[in-house]
Amino acid sequence: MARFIVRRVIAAVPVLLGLSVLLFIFVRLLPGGPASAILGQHATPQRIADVNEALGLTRPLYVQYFEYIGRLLHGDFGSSYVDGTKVVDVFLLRFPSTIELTMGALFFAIGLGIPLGRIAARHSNGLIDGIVTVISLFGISIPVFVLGYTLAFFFGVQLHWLPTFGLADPTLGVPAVTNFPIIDGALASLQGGTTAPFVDAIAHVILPSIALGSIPLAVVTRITRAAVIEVSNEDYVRTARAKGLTEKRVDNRHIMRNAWLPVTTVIGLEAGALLAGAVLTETVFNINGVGSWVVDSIRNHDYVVVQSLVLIFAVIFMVVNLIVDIGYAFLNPRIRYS
Amino acid sequence: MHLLSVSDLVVRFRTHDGTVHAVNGVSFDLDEGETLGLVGESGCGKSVTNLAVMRLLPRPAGHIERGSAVFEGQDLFEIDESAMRDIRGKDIAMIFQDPMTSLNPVLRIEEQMVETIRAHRKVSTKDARERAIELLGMVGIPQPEKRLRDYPHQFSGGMRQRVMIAMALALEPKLLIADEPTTALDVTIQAQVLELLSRLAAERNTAVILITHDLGVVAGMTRRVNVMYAGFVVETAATSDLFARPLHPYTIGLLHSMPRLDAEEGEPLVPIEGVPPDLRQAPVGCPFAPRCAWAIDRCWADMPALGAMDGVVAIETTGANPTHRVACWNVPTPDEARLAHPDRPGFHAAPAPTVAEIAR
Repeated sequence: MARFIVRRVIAAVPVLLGLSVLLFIFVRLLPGGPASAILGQHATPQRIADVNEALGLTRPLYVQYFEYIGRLLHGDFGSSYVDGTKVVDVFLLRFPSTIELTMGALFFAIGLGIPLGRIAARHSNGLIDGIVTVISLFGISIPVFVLGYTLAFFFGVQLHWLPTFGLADPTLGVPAVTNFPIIDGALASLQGGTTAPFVDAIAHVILPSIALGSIPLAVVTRITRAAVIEVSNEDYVRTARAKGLTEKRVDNRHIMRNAWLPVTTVIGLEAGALLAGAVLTETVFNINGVGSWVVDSIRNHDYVVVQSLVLIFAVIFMVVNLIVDIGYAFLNPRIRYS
Repeated sequence: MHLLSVSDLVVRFRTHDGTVHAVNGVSFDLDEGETLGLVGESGCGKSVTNLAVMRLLPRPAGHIERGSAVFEGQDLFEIDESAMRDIRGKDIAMIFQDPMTSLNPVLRIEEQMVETIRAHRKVSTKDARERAIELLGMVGIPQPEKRLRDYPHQFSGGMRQRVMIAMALALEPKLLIADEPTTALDVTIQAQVLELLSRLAAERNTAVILITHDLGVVAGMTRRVNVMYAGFVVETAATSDLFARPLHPYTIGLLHSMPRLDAEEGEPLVPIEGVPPDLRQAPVGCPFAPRCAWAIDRCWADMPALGAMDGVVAIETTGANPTHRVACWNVPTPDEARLAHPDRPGFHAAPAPTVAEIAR
């Protein structure tokens, strides 16, 4: 297992290097530059040239590239051209929100998708299966922003059941310790002896999680349904029944253990897509996550920020995939031993 | 009282292409410790008959139309699901054709064996594990303690089938149904597995139903044989009788299409011409009539019942010397059976009736 991980990490190096080169070139191909973003659209060419000179953008590209990579290797992700903040600082401030949102969406998608898929498989081609199919088609077809605003309108504005703004109520004055709203809320609850901050943080994450999780919910449901139906027809399931095992054990141990394999693969892919796709949800629910920051940085031609953020996302995506592969190997002994 | 008594079993499958008449009124008896072979080509209903007895027909398509399967005095088709579950694996165990796919690939052998034992006996996991080790040793798996921790893919095909046998015998069942247990194995391994199976069954006085398309396997393993065709039992006899004096044209065809070591060089195999009937059609007449050289007009209209031959009065359905019975209107003579074709001057197989004749 250790060798497997080492091999994967080594294989990641050329991918990340290639990506860094492409990123470096592509952000510079965009029309405009950071100077005009800093100075505004009425800046004179002379001032723009001065700013570019000051930012070091007039030097040859390869010099800029190697300087950037050199700093990266020293753990320096650079600073924003526009407001001078360090990428690392802003990242640590914003990334927990994105993680929390993504985890919430995954929790929703897996927690609901797997039971739904199993029910649909058990009643395949019946009425319940049809209803589940419609629900998942619904989830996959509705754009996140439509679903997000609809949820916010009904459950927030009309019914006043759930908050629709941010991931925590700032008036509660919860101190930022980890920057994860739920963890900070739990800590505040423990110290203050009141459940309010924790409940508030949970309530905040519900609607964004549903909005972001609707597509993975549909995907997980469909894959679970298909996997369960396929596995149910396997010979070893018949063997399990012929041994006199209860349906519950046949279901949980013999069918689901095998059905988890394709489901795990899909969850891994979805988790990566969610991290990257959180931007719309963050916008709809006014969450200060990483997604909105990437978009702002692209708009401002904030080269260093875009480069570093996308690279960090790539690393996270790789780590998530590695975790999924390890989980897959854990579930599938045929992979583990080969 | 017989151990198992199946009577007038009819199984149908509802599919998108129509109803499949898989088993059409099969009856047979089995005594304790007896070995019965079920022979026939693919799709003749041998496996389905036994899946029906176990109530493990593929759902929702397969269902038991009528009939009964009385096991130790109770009709398996009448008892509730939990009572049936108690019988499965404990009193009636099954071994399936392909040991590659019959063991769960993601669970250790240990878990698959222990869960079987613990499903039926109130024993600790530790005791069940001890029993599993003992069973693996019994079927000839070296280092059973170590191999118990392995996964199915770490075993060879023959070893896997040994594991299946160990699992099937874990609870000392009274009846073991072996569905093509050696079909997926190398020929050299086949003999070992069959020898093991028959030795263990004999030691425990376990009755065995051996499903196979291989007459050679039946010859060495069983005391009695049912020959099945298109969902019917067409001939039943003591194994030695069946080989010495096959009565049904289909059995004769099977025996002649079997490669023999004592055949003259260059002597051709005689295949059975034609194909089995489409089981989506409700059976009319004898299902073998379209392929039968002995067919007479009546064969196209009526299915003959299994009748006793040799003029024996009392019909023995089971035991070492059951009455030789055959379902045929025009039974070939022993000489014809040796020739594998009719030997009567001027005789031609009756052609299928025309539409006009059927209408009349």
